[in-house]
Formats: sequence, C-alpha cells, structure tokens
Amino acid sequence: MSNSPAVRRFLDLVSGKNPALKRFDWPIAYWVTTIVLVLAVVGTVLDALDINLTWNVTYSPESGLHGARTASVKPVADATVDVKTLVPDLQQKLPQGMTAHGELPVSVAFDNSTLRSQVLNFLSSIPMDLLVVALIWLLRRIVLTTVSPGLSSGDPFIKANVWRLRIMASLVLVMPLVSFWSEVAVWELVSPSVSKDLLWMSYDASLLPLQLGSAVVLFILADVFSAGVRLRDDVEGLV
Amino acid sequence: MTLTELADRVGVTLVNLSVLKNDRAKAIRFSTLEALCEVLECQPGDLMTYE
Repeated sequence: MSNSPAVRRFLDLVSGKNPALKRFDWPIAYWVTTIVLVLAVVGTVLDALDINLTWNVTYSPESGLHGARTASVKPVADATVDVKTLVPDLQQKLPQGMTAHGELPVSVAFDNSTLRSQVLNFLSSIPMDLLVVALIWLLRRIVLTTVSPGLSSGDPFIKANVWRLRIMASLVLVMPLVSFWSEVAVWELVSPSVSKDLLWMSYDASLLPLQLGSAVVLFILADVFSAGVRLRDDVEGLV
Repeated sequence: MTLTELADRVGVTLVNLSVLKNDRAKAIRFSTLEALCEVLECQPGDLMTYE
C-alpha cells in the first residue's frame, strides 16, 4: 500500500473515514431535498391559485426590447388550430400567387367566474400536484434516513422506510387514474357535451407502462427493505 | 471475575455479553460458545437450558 498522503486522503474519502465528508454530507442532502420539496409545494400553491408565472418579452422601435414577468390566468389546454380557421381572410390579404398554410399554437383559458369552472379547473391539476408533492416528501424522508448520520441513525433498513416505499408505490399506481380524472375535468371544461369516445381517444396512455413499472419496482424495493429489516434484527441479536 | 474481564477473555464486547446474560440474544456463534466454555471451564449445557 502506498504511503502517499494524497492516496491516503483519497482512500479515507471513498471509505467514509474522512471527517470532512461526514461533516458535509447530511446538510447537502437535507438542503437539496428541502429545496426540491419547497419548489413542488410552491408549484402546487400557484396551481391552486390559478396563477401562471410567465416571462413576456415585448419589442417596440422606440423603447427597444423589454422583458417583464407577469402573472396571468393559467391556460388549461394547449391546441393547434389551422391558420385558415383562425384568420379566414388571410388569403385575400396575401399577394397574388402566395398561399398560407400550417397550424398555430393556441392556449385555452377559461372564465373562472362560475363555481363549476373553478372546481373543474382545480381538479384538472391539483390532485396530480399533490401526488407529486407527497412522493417528493416520502422520498426526502427515505434519503434523509439513508445519508444523514446527523439527523438519524444513518440506517435505511427500518420499518418506516418499508411503509414509505409501499405508500410511494401505491401513489404511483393511482397516478394513471388521477391523470385520467384530470383529463375528464379538462374535457368537461372544454365542452361538457363532448362524446365520451373522444375522451378515451384523447387520453394519453404513453406513460402508463412507465408508471405501472415504477409501481412494481417500488413494491419490490419495499419487500427488499422488509427483508433487510428482518436480517438487521437477526444480526443485532447474534452474539 | 468481573463481566469486563470475562468479555475481554472471551473476545466479545461488554454490550454483547450483557445481551447474552439478560436472555436477549437471538443466536450465538459456535466460536463465542467455545470461548465461553473455555474461559468458564464448563460445557455448553451448563450455560443453556431448554424450558
């Protein structure tokens, strides 16, 4: 083994013997997970208040380029509409021999004056936001038990983590249902008389395999942690 | 012989010896049992009983 101080410091670092590493590892994990959680909560609150923070850039020859952050009504749905539908007389305004074609992006916002539209607007995003906040909160608790000797015993194999993983798996499992419910709320807002066939056709199921797969992996991970807790109990009783 | 001396001679910690003494152990290694019997000059049956 080399006696070089640099090599010794490196080996201490990777083996966790370096006191500097132990002093700094838990505050970093604590603050990073706290910031992520706070951002998720702020996003949920903004959604609940129906506030969409956007950055608007305007240009005029007199004053030049100006940017301003504005709070506007949150668009509920995005769509693309044929340019000829949006501007019917566009063809007449164009020079001879030129034709216009293509689609323009359109954001749909709603008059939030009625209770029905307020409730539907709320249902379109808040349940999913709350699910994400709950998942981040549970993940943060697991991370803190794993990497923060200053806050806990530093042992992830505890019964609380098994239950946290099971709850996370259950939340991921209900995500497609919540996502579908949001779609129902949006369609009710767009057109209450819309055919239910159209609703099924518009439902985006591309994330369904990923969500179900994640739920299965989390349930398996919970079982692995459960086995870890049993093994830890056995080892602690071995003399 | 004190518990500290016994722990030193058997090669287990005082905490583990206390776990053994107070019937809180779930399992015991053959090497620990052998060392205990050697230090205490007894047989395993003298240390354990089945009820």
